[in-house]
Amino acid sequence: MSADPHFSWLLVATVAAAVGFVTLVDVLLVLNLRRHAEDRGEDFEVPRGLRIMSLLLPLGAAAALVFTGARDLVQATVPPLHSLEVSASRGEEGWDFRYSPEVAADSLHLPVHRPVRLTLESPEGPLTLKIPALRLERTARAGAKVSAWFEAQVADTFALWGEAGHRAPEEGLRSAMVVHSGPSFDRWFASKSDLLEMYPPVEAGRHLVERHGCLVCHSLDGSPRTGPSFWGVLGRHRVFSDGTTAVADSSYVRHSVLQPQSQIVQGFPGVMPSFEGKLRDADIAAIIDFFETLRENGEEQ
Amino acid sequence: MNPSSVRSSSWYSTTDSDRLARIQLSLAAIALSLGLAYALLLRLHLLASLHPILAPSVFGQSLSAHALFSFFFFALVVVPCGVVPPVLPHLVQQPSLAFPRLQQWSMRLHFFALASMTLAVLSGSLSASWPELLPEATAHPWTVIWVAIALHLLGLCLVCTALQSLSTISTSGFPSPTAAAVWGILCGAVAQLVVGVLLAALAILIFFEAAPSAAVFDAAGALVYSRFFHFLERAAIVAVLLPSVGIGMQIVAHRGARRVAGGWSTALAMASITALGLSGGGLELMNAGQSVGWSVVQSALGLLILVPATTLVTNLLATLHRGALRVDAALLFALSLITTAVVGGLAAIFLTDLSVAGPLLSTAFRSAVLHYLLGGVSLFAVLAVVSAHADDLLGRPLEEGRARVAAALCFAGLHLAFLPGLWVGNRGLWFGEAELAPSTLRWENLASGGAAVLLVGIAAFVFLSLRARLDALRSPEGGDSPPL
Repeated sequence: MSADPHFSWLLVATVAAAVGFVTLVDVLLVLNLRRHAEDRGEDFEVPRGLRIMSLLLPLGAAAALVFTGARDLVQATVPPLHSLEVSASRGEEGWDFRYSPEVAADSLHLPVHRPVRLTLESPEGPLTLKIPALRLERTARAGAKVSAWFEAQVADTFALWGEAGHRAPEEGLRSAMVVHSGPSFDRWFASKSDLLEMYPPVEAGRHLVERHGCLVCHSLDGSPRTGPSFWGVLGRHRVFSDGTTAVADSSYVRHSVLQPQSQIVQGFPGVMPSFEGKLRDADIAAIIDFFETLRENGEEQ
Repeated sequence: MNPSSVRSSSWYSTTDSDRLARIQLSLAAIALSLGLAYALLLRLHLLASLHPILAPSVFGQSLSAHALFSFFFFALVVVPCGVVPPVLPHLVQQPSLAFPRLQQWSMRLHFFALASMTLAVLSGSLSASWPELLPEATAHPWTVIWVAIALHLLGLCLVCTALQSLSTISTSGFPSPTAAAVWGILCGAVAQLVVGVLLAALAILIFFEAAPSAAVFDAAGALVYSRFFHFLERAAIVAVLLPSVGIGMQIVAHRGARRVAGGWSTALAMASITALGLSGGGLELMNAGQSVGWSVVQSALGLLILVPATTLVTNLLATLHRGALRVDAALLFALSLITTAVVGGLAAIFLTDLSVAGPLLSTAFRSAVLHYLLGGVSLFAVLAVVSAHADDLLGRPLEEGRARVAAALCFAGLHLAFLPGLWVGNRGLWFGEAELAPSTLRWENLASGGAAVLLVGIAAFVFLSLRARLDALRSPEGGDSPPL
């Protein structure tokens, strides 16, 4: 992380000061040993130049550390606008890292070189999350949220664990932080957000319709909006703005989704965008399965 | 001191300053033994990391017990109550301390505070989050109440001792600029007064927190609560460090047959450290990390301590220069004390740097610095003063050669035990997490080895002290030791 050089510098300064001080004391001890019982020490005062140096040097060091510290604090306080938002909480069997309402994992997956804003919450009792590679520790007290932002610099897998108030790692909260290279993270995210793997086809179709914003223009109850309703769409006789007609079947739905401007239903504006490249054939098939339920003998009303 | 007069009054009603100091040293030694016993348990658990011997909740409780006994009942009290009383009359050239009843009350409060804390720990339901977080719901209300009583009494005990030190110094006129120990005790007593009052007040709030219907610290207050302990830490460092460093410098000057170098600069440096330490800590308490601007001011106050601290170090080195040094165990312990104060103090000052303060807050770095600084300085202060004042405190001087060996063992053991923590913490880890980050295991084992060496050194010194005391009780004729 970016604070590493700062840590190393402080550690080296502390060790150097320790070694230097002990050496100096030892040398002075040897040089000033009492040779005879009647020996007396001489009073010695620090020369003015050395005295001034002993004031100015630490003052300069303090000023430099205050400046860099203030800069780092401001930077650590405000996350960049394009940060990836991840929330963390305790699930039934371990961590629950949530990227969106549908996408969650029990280990923390991140893209390298992208700011991440992590929010930890704990409805019951204190919960601590520790990621030593990031020098990150946050404790959320009961009912409270805490957040931090960071940017992983190296694509690798790192230890991550949690504590629930005992100041000792808990077995169930041991996990990992996986930092992906850019494309690798996108592939992981796509696999975790594949609704067809998460739900049965009809459910997946419903979630796809919601996720892609179809319900802004198309209702599910038969009422007209900007576009025709999805209620009873399959099997309905359609009249298009160019005067042609067709019965809405699965190939009609697929065609309307991918090339909506080629067949505009009469009485509606031709404003629907194409979903080519956004929806796969399997996704459209799931949507059609969902549409099958939107009729009198279907499940949806 | 006449041993026959010691037996003429009970330990509870005595006003003999040396005897009271000896009793309070013994109480601190009992607390240290209990704290070390818990530390040993934790170390064994960490060594057997592949087959942990403690459940997480027991580990947390043991950590709490270790912190409560070692920090509050040893590090915080041993210097003001056990080290200062025997040396202060010599330093201010008075026959005894002013207001002996204050010291008597300090001892009584100290005794009952330790008894209450022992009861709290023995109850077996000590919260795992003491002392930094609020008592958990798992803690039995009576346990919380016993802890609150213990901390309240301890706060009052510190107030009594601070008032006695201040009044003793004030009755002897304005201290000389070269009386480093008197200035250290004076500044330390001011910080001790703040710590005592705060601890006594905080304990009352904890007491009410234990009542089921009263929640003194709500969700936001929990943050303030933890900040109380951060402030206590800072004030305690000032209260322990300055008297110890002052006494250490005075021992070095005495063994070098000369005065402490630096004139007024030593006194000014100590007063500045007190002012900066207390105001920085107070600001942290009030701000609780909520405002960036105030956090920067608070960090600046902490880092400015580098300036007076450098002055003190320069004066110490100048005191060693051209001295005629008589090397004995007291000088070795005093130099160990000053080295620990310089190295630990520097690391503690760096911890106020905002670039690293947050990330290092809950790692072994902070823990190691706190143990090294507070534990090391207070331990070496006790050993240095007992060595220098063995005639007064024990009735006999220590066996010099063996005491020097004990000094070497303690110095090596302390550094091996805690300095590896700087590296482990620098990796973002807490002690005990080596199992999850195997690269730090060798550092943890080195720390365990160092702790064993330190224990041998302490045991050797205790053995020498007991032997000297027993010799004195068998044949009361003893020699006089020079002041410091």
